[in-house]
Amino acid sequence: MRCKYIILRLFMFLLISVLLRVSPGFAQSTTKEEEQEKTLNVLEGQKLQKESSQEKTPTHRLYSSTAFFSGYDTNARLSTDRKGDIFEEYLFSLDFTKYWPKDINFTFTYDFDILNYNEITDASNILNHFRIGPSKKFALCTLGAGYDLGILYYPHNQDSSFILQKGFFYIRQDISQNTYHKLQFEAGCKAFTDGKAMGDAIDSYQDKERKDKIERLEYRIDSFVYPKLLVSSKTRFSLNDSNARYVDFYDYKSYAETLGADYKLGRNLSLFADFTYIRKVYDSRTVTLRDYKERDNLYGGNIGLKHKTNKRNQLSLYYTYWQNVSNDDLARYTESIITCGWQHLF
Amino acid sequence: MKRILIFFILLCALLFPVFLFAQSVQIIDVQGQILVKKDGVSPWQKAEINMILGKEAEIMSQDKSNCTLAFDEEKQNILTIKENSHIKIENISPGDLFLSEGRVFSLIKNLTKTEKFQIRTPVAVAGARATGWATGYHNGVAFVYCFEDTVYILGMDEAGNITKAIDLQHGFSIDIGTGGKIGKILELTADELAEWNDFKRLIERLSGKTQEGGTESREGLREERNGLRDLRREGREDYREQELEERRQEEEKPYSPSVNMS
Repeated sequence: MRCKYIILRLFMFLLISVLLRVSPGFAQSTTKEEEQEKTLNVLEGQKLQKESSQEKTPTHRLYSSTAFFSGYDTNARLSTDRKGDIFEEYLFSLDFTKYWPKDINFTFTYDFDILNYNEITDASNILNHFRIGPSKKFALCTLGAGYDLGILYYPHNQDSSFILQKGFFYIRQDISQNTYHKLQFEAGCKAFTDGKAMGDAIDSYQDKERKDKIERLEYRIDSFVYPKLLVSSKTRFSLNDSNARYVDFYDYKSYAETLGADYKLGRNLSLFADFTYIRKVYDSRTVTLRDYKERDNLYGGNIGLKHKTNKRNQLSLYYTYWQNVSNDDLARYTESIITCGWQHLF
Repeated sequence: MKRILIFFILLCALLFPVFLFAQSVQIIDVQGQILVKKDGVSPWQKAEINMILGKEAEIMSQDKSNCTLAFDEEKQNILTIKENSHIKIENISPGDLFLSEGRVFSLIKNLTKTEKFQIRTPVAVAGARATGWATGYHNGVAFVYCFEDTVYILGMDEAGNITKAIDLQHGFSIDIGTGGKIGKILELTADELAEWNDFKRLIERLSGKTQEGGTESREGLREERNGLRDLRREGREDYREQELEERRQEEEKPYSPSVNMS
C-alpha cells in the first residue's frame, strides 16, 4: 500500500514536470517590469548594432586556401617507358568577388601551384594562374567575360614552358534552383618561352618560338539531382593552330566530354568521381613512319574521397587514371596516380 | 513490490530525457548583419551558420539582412527572419515565437497532429499545424499572409485576451490592428507570391547547403578549380608532346628529307 502511494506520488511529480514544459501558447500577460526589461534589451541590442557593426552589408567575398599533396605517378613522362616517381605538390588559391550594384560582380582568382617530381625532375613545374573579369546578372541569364593567364614554367626543361593568354566570354543560365548551364567561348595564344617552332623537317627549327592559337567552345551543365548529389557534364570543342610547320605537327581539332559527380556520404565526407574522353584529330600530322593521319583517343578518370576534419581543414585521397589510345605507337601511354592531400581554408 | 518500484524509477530515469526533447534551434543561413542572444542570459553576438539557439533566444536582423532557422533536424520546420526584425523564441517544440517587429516567413511540415507552431505579435497570434505563411508586425499592426493550407489567427487586446478568431485560407492576407481588430481579407499580390517563391527556393537550396556558403559558391569554386586542372593537364600534354617530338626525331631522322637531300 505504502509502495503504491510512493509510485503514485512519483508519477504525479513526473506528470507535473512534463506539463510545466508545455507553454500555454496563447497570450501571456507580462508585468510592467518585464516590459521595461524587454524594451531595455531591445534598445541595448539596437545600440550594440549601431556601435559594433558600423560595417554595411558585405560588398565582397574572399576565399583563400592552401593545400599540400603527395603521391605516386606510374608514368611521369607520359611515355611508353613508364617510369614512375613520387611527387609533391603545393597549391595556394585565392578567390575574390566584388559585388557592385545592379547585380554586377567582379571576380579575380589566382592559383600558385608547384609540382615536384623527386627523380624525373624535368617533369617538375611551377604554375601561376590568373583569371579576372566582370559578370552581370540579368533576369534570364548571367553574362560574363574576362581574361585568363596561365604561366607554366619547367625549371629543368624550359622548352616546355609556356604562357597561355585567353580572353573568354560566357552566358550562364539557372534552369532551376538546383541546375544551371553555361556556354563559354575562349580564344587565346599559347607562347612557348624557349621552345622553338618546328621547321619544314622533323629535326629542323625556325628562329622563332612556337606559338599556338587556341579557340575553344565549352558547354557545361551542373545539377543537384538530390540534395546530396551533384552531377555535371562538360563538353568542349577545341582548335589548335600552331606555327610549327612540319606536317602541321601541333594543329588539331579535339572534342572532349567530361562527366562528374559529387556525392555527400555523410556530414563531413564526400565522394567524387569523373570520367573524361578526348578525341584528338590532327590536321596533317601523320603516324610515325606512316602516311595516314594520327588520331588520339584519351580516356581519363578520377575517383576519390574528401573528408572535412573541421570547418577549415579537409583531407583528400584520390586515384587518377589516363590512357591514350593512339594509332601511333609512340604516342600511346597509360598513367596511374594515387594522391593524398590536405587543404586548409583561411 | 520493491522490484516494481525499482523498475518504475529506472523507467522514469530513462524516459525523463525524452520529455526534455532536443530543445534547440539551428541557424542554417545568415545573410547580412544578424545579432543573436543564444538564450535568455547570453549577451548579444553575431550570428553564425550552424549556431545552436535555445529557449528564450532572441534574434535581431539589420537592414538588407535575413536569417533562417531550422526547428528540426530534417529541416522540415523552417523560419526565415526578414530584414529589420526582432523575434524571441519562447518555445521550440512546439514552436512558439514572439515577433515584436518585422516579418518572418514560416514553412512548417513536420509536426504531430497535436502540435502547433505559432507566432505571436502584440496584437495577434498566427499559427498552424502544417502550412506556409508569413507574419509581420509594424507600428501596432500585424499582417498575416497565408501561402499554403490554412492559418488560424487570434486577435488580442492589450491585456492579451482573445477578441476574435478566424481561419485564413491560402492565397489571402489580413491585417490585425490595435486591440486585436481584424481587418479585411485581401488576395495575395504577385509580389507577395514572388517573395514566397524565393523563400521556398531558398529552403530547397539550404537542404543541400554546405559550410562554404551555398550551391552557387560551391559551383563557382568547383568550376574554377576545374579550370586549373584543365590547365595543368594541358601542360602535361605539351610536355609529353615535346618528349614525343624528340623520340620521333630519333625514329624518323634516317628518313627525313633534310638528311636525304644532303
